[in-house]
Amino acid sequence: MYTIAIAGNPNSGKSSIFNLLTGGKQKVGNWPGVTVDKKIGKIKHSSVNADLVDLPGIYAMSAWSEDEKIARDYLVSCEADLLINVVDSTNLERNLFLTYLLKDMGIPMLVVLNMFDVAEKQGIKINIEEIEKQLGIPVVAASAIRKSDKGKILDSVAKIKPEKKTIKLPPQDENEYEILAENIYKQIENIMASAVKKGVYVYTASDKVDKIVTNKFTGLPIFLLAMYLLFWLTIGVGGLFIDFFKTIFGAIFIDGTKMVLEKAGAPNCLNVILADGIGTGIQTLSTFFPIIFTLFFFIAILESSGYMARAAFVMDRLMRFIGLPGKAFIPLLIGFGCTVPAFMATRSLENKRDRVLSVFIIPFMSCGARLPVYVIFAATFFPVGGTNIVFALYIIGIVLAVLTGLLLKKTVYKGSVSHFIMELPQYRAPSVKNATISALFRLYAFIKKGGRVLVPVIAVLAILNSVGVLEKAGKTVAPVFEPIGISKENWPASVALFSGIFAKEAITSSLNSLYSQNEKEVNIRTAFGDSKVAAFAFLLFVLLYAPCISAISASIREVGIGFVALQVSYSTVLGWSLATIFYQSFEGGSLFYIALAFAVLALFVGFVYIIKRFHGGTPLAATALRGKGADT
Amino acid sequence: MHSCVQNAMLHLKPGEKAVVEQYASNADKAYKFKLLSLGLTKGTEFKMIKTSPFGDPIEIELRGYRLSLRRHEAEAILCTQ
Repeated sequence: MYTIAIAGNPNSGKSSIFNLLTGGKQKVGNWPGVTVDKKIGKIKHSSVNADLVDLPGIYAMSAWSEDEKIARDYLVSCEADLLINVVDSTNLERNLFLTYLLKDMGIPMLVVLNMFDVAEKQGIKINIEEIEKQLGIPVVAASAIRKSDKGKILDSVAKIKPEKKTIKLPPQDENEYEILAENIYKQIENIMASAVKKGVYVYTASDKVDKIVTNKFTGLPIFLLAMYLLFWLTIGVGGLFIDFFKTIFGAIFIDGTKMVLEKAGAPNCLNVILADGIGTGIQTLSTFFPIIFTLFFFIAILESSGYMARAAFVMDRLMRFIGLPGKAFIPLLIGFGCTVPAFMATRSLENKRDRVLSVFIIPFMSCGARLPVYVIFAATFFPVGGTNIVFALYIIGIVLAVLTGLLLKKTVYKGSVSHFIMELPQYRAPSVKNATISALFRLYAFIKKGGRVLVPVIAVLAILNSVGVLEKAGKTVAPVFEPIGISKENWPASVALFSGIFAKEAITSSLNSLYSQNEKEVNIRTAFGDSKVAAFAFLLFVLLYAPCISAISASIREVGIGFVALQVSYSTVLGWSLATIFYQSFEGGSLFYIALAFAVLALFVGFVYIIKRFHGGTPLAATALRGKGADT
Repeated sequence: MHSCVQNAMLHLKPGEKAVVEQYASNADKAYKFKLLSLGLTKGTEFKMIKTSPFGDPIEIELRGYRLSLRRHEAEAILCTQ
């Protein structure tokens, strides 16, 4: 029983080979100090009984990129006894650079010339024996779609003696590295000249497609269409299944648990803890399954088809205006549906700085759960032009997102920018099978790691709620909301906002149930004094304040509790200040409150600025250097 | 043969070729490592393919594959046509 690591360039089909060798069964683990998921599988084949660890797709082994650093640190740790290097046969010249670096590290290694069938179709003739001779390492040709190649690869692996060796790392001095790179590429050129006969020009077909996809005029519209499709498939179609999961998991873990406990005659507090508490936690977790699965399924399809790179290529310039790379568009877009998968999608951003910035901005993309609140208030208070009110809220959210991005870009992240340097692979037919495996893996990682935080947190909140703690908290804090137009009698609104931390949909149901408990004839309209201004101020607050606890938990996993606390307080303070300024300006008339709101806002922004200047100096501002230290 | 010019890459028109001369002395270390690893070593020939609809980034072809980089990143490389 030993450990094999699998390494290769992005787009080399490494994950297909991983799936081929492990049969698609994967476990998720941890890379020390980072939030990137570690994928592990098992290989059982005649004489090979090993764990297979998937290293991130990398081009080299330098310390300047997070993914490469993960690979470096992992190989230095000597956990791996053997290395499989997956190489794209249609792109040999550049792929072999990593091969040479890995070879120099000294670990027993096998080179797999992947996509060999595609290379043959393209007329590329590769002399495998010659490459083996020049590399001095066993080489085997394979295609991830040929099941029989699994045996072929593993038979070659079986012939290599696994061994833990002390690793030699490539130099990190830039002049030494330049010389090393030149030498390696010279050797690669020799191999290309002696062992490889070039095929047809492969980009003809891709270029034809790109003529439309990255065209000056059609590039953006096609991108928007693709994003609309992604959104519709994920939120629209995937969203259809939310109720299904909610019902089933509710039936099993809440009602089912209650039934069992009743039969067993258990005390009521146990009922509350297990059924209302943990049961609700599990049920809430399950409501995210369909969207997470569909989102990552379609992201995988977009990536493997090669379109994702084009999308980033088209959008980069625009996104950089708010300080984010082109790829960040997808998490932002998904944020309009649900913040939880949006936070998870920030994974694809290689740079921590980009992920933190995204986490700050994403909540301003008003999520789907807030929409029912807007709609009900719009219908109640703005019978004419209600749609415009809702639209205005979304626009305000987007504007604030852009402003926040600019603010962060010019203060905290001044001068730092992540790399764009990106390969544009050939267009390929995406594999539904691999996309499914990839989506299931993400889902599994969400359940295992996200669930660990989400379930207990929601359980605690649900328990507190059922004993009336949330209601008490809402009533106690109600005075704070007076400036935004919630009168003393309207304390249910304050409580509803608290329940909104649970889930934004809970706001309206909470309002309705609390108003109906009142003896007087109270409804939303009367409670807000029939005031359009108060209603809109309330909606402004709902738009901006803290995201739901599920989103908060998900973001803690992505960027750590420090940044999350900052984001939550920033957006809540922003919401309170803006709502106060709006209400007081148009109705309340209290200059004191207006001045207070501005002061609070200015103070807070200034405070954030100061903290970042002192604390965030280097770790956040560094371009690509990201390691354990920068993870606060 | 034109002389070695910074930002020469940025002046290339689609279809034009150039050869990497050297790296700018103030080239960011991280960029340099990445570009070297990707094959942009001294003497490497590459071809300009296109620019993004918004003018940035640009796409070049080298060693049989396509690479895109921002104009600002391309400044790290000095080349001749």
